[in-house]
Amino acid sequence: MKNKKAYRKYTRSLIGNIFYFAFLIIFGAFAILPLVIQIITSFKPLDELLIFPPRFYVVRPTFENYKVLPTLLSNLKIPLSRYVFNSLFVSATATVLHIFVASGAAYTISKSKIKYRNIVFAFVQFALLFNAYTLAIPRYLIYSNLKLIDTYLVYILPYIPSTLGVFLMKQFMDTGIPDALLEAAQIDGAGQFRVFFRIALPLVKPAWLTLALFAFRDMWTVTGSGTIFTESMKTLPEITSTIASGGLARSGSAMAMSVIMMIPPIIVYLISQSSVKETMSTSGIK
Amino acid sequence: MKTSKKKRGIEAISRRAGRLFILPWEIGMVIFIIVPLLISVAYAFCEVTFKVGGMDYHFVFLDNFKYLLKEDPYYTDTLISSLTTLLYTIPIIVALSLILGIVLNQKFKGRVIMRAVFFLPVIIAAGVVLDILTTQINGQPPVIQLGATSTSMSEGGGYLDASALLAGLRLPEAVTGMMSKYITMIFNLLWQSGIQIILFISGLQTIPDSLYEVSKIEGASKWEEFWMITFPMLRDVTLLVTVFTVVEEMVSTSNEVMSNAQSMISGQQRYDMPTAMIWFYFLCVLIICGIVLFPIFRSFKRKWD
Repeated sequence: MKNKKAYRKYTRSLIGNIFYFAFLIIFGAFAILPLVIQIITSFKPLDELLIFPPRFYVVRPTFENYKVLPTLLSNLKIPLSRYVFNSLFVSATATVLHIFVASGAAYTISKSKIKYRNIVFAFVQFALLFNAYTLAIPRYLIYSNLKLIDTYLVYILPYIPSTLGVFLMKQFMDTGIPDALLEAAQIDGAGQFRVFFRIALPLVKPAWLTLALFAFRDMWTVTGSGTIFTESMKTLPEITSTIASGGLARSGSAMAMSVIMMIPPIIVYLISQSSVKETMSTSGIK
Repeated sequence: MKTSKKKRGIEAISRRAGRLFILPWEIGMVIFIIVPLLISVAYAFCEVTFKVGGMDYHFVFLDNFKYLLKEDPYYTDTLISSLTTLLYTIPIIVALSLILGIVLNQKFKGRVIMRAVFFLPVIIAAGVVLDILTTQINGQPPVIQLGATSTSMSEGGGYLDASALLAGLRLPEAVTGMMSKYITMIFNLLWQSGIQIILFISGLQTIPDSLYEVSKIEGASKWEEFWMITFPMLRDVTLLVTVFTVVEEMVSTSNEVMSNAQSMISGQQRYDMPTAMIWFYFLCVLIICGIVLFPIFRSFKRKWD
């Protein structure tokens, strides 16, 4: 492996290189094996699904499991595309809103001198430790008081103020945005919003792209259990579990569905990671 | 680092703008976090019973906690085992993801693909995809056996058992038994490190190349380079990753306190005792984190600033 840049050149001996790649490959295998099994299983015809112990390969691959997906849902009278739309809409909206709200909050905590910012940040760390189960029932009461039950808002709104994003952005803003740059921009006559959108956010682009990835992942798997009752409002994960609960004959289709479920997060991942590279490697002052 | 500079001159952002930027988040936080939190604290100190059209609260103060610690035969055991698991898994996960993050941040062919490979568990270990992998398919053991699944917002929990996987290889039983134990362990640690690896990579990318150039000119070895540049520059990210890992591990339903509380909520429709269980557990984690983490990061700060 030849490195192009002279500095940060990882010149190792041959043994070093072998060790490096062996390390990567072994751990990589652990990471990817279940996915491989998942994909293989989705192409298995019924008789091969029943073999025990399960095989790591497929003898007669078939697309049958994918083809039957639309018909499996036909008895629900709602097309598959509706669930896909619901999931995409909810995930995209919540991700974008969460990034702006969390960045705004983190910006204030990191850069302003408002007195209570330390208390707010302490609370952010404290609230991170909460599990959705502890909050599930009290939250239900709030949804029903705000008349949010059975609307898209029940998916989107609770995610927007989640504290992980604020914590993440704050940590990156502390080191990633020099105060001097913000001050200079203001001396040059830029307004507060202009400074935020044109200077602060671009400087921490890797951070919010990472946050976008996390938010999308969380929202993509969101289900409205107990708060969404209209069938046409339900999300893709819910319908996937419906298929999966179909038992014996559906196991191949469930795998096929779960393979489809993984595609959007992988796309978001590829987009976010490829644009991370383009951004700054220095902290903006030079 | 620049705190002394902040004190004078014009402010980075004005107070009014600052309040405005934080406002949307504050509103959301009050409605969806603070209020539910307060209600759940109230549950822990009450006896909650169902009646027609709602719930009945009866204030019992510390009775729930007293019961848990003195009478419940399982709680203290599960609490201790959950806490000790936390204490050893967190350093391992942080160290493993730091190593993998550094390795994956280097320049080599196929880096993008390799990074994707390590991120896949993060996607798979979320929600319904994990459910499908875990469900018993055809009444047979599933291809990969996973334990509890997770539905919380920030977790990658779920517990992998590699024994079913190894059964397919038809090895002698003694070998399978031994291997599956270690493979299971590696699986679990790795599957919980996906997000941490990404956090470290984005942290590594904010370190200016010029620092490495300087150290090269000064004649620093790779080892010195790591301890003098990479590690100190990653301090904030390491704190972030550590907190994130604590959170993820703590709320993961693969730990016993959480799974017991969860099954109590969904199985017996009880809210008072499980919330008390979780709150006490949470308190313990907070105290331990304070004792273990705070001095470490304090000393880091003193050393490098």
